[in-house]
Amino acid sequence: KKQAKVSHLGLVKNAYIQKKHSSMMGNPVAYQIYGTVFALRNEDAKHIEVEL
Amino acid sequence: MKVTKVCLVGNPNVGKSSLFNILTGSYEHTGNWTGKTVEDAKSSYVLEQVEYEITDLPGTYSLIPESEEEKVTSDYLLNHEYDVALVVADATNLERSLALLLEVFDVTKNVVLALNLMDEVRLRHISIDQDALKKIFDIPVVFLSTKEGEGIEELKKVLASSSSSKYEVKHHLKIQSYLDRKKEMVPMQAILELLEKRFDSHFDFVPSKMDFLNDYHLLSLEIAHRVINRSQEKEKRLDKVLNGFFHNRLCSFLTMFFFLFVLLFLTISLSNYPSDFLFSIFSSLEEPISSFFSFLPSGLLEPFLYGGYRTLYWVVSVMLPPMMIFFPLFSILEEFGFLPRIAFQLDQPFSKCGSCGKQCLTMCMGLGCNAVGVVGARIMENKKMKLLSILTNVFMPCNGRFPMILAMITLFFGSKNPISSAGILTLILIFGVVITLVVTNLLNIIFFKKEKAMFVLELPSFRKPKIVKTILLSWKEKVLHILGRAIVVAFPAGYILFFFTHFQVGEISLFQSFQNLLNPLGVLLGVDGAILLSFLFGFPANEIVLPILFLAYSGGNVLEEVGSLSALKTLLVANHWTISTAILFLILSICHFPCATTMLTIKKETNSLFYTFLSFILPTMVGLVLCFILHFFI
Repeated sequence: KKQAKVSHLGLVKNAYIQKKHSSMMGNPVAYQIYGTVFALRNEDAKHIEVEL
Repeated sequence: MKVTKVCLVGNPNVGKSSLFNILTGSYEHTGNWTGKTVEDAKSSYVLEQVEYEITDLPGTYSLIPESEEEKVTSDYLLNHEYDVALVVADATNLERSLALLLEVFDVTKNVVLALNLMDEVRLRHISIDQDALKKIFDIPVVFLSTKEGEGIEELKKVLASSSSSKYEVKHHLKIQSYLDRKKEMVPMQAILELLEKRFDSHFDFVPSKMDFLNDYHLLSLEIAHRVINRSQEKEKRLDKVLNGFFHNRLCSFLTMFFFLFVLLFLTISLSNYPSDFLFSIFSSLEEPISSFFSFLPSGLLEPFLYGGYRTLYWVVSVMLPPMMIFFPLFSILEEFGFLPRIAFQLDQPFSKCGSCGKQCLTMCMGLGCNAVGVVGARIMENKKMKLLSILTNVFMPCNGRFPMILAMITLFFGSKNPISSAGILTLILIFGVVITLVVTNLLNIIFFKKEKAMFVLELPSFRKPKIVKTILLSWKEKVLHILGRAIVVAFPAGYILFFFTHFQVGEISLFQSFQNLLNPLGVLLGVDGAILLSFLFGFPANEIVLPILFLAYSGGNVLEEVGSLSALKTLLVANHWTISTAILFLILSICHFPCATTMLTIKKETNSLFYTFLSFILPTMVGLVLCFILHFFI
């Protein structure tokens, strides 16, 4: 169910994701996929697998 | 007349409401953040003898709903009759926007695609192949800029002559074979049914929401890559500059603080003069009115003049000027896209209390009107957080209380120096935020399990608002709202008060005896009976709290001649007000039960008498306890 929420924003398999900047307390962090910038908490973001 | 029904579908914050406003000439609220529209709006326009009925649906990322709220759009598309689904997409973000278009294709083939934000596309040097898009989907595609008003005429023409498309969404093989077997159903209906039942006899694997979303998004990406060229793309200057403030942690905190302070400073320093001006105009009108109606018996004239009229003009003069400065400025910040940034920055403290940063958005709406804030709580991720934000929304001083707080600050903390007044007001708002956090945390511990929900928040690109238009719209709305409230609430309330103060029980008036009844409790809290009584009588609308207070003090029967704000201070001081009384009054004005309208809205939104009752008792208790404790120290 958690996955579905980020998929709505276009975070699907093989999507290209970029870290933008973090908030003043370091959590959440803003990420960008194509034209979408969105915030994710670190505890949620750790479930996302990325390839550097 | 022939009626063509059009519904607007699109991701959140792509300008559906702006488009709706332009097409139909309405004034629905717009703002640069996800979730601004929570209810569907309907209006129409006429072109060449055909009526076009437009429905603006709440923005959604997908027709496969994630929550109850998101069901609204898919339910509408599947179960209502309409002629055209007008998909509004963000042209700067086709990679994602097209996914929703594909989903709509699984519901209807009568689709028109409108690509909004073309002005930004040009600013950012993105190129989009319009013809390729048209060819791929076999539908009309219109380039729009709701900000510049570009493409509207073309869109109207296209809506008049739209036809059915032959485009079919190609699904993943297994899903496709399932859909082929369910030919009698609309594909989306079949998909939703499968997801709900989680079983189909012809199916060897049960796909999840993710599988479908992946399908749509991968296809959307593939198509977007064919029509969009980002090789020349540049970051907008506005984004570069404003994002700069938010890259650095300390800087982002100071920026937020600074904006809040400047907003309040301008409100305070600019609103005194028009306030006094309105006061003098209204009070100078008293003479002519009384002589004009002199043929009336005084039993009729006095309640009208000293009850109704005085309460009305007092409400208008105190409310109107600060609201006409605060809200346009606030709307401008909102249109820029600041609100989600605040939610982003403040998520951590709210998450510690069992909520999330989006609660800030409902709080910002609460600044305008708590009832609106309560409805706005629909944007919260789950029921628990929705309840938390509904129950604590009252700690944000609304339209009706804000000016009363302002007036108190001006009277007791130095009207000469707007900087220090603005500082104090900033502190009061921060106090409201802190109380919200504390109470949210308490509620979370007592009533709710410590379930955690995921937090996803879109941060929109900064957009330069149409400043003059925003100010005028906001003025129009505020003036109408405040005048409306003054006539509907303040005027009758003034009348009723007049009778309360004139109805004698033994030696004293009914009003006076209530006041005496409450006085012991008031003294216990460091205030007096009049203050408590005025908050109680202010239940229908907080706007009338101050007039009642002055009525109580003028001891008497009618609101005394009150030429300006400064004259009021004399009255308060004569009734033993000190700075500490003012502080306790300010605390009570933040922490007390919501007004009647808000309570009704809470009942409607929560559908529970318990929570409605809790929303009444909770802030009241907080206020009483705080005052009881604090009055020993100050």
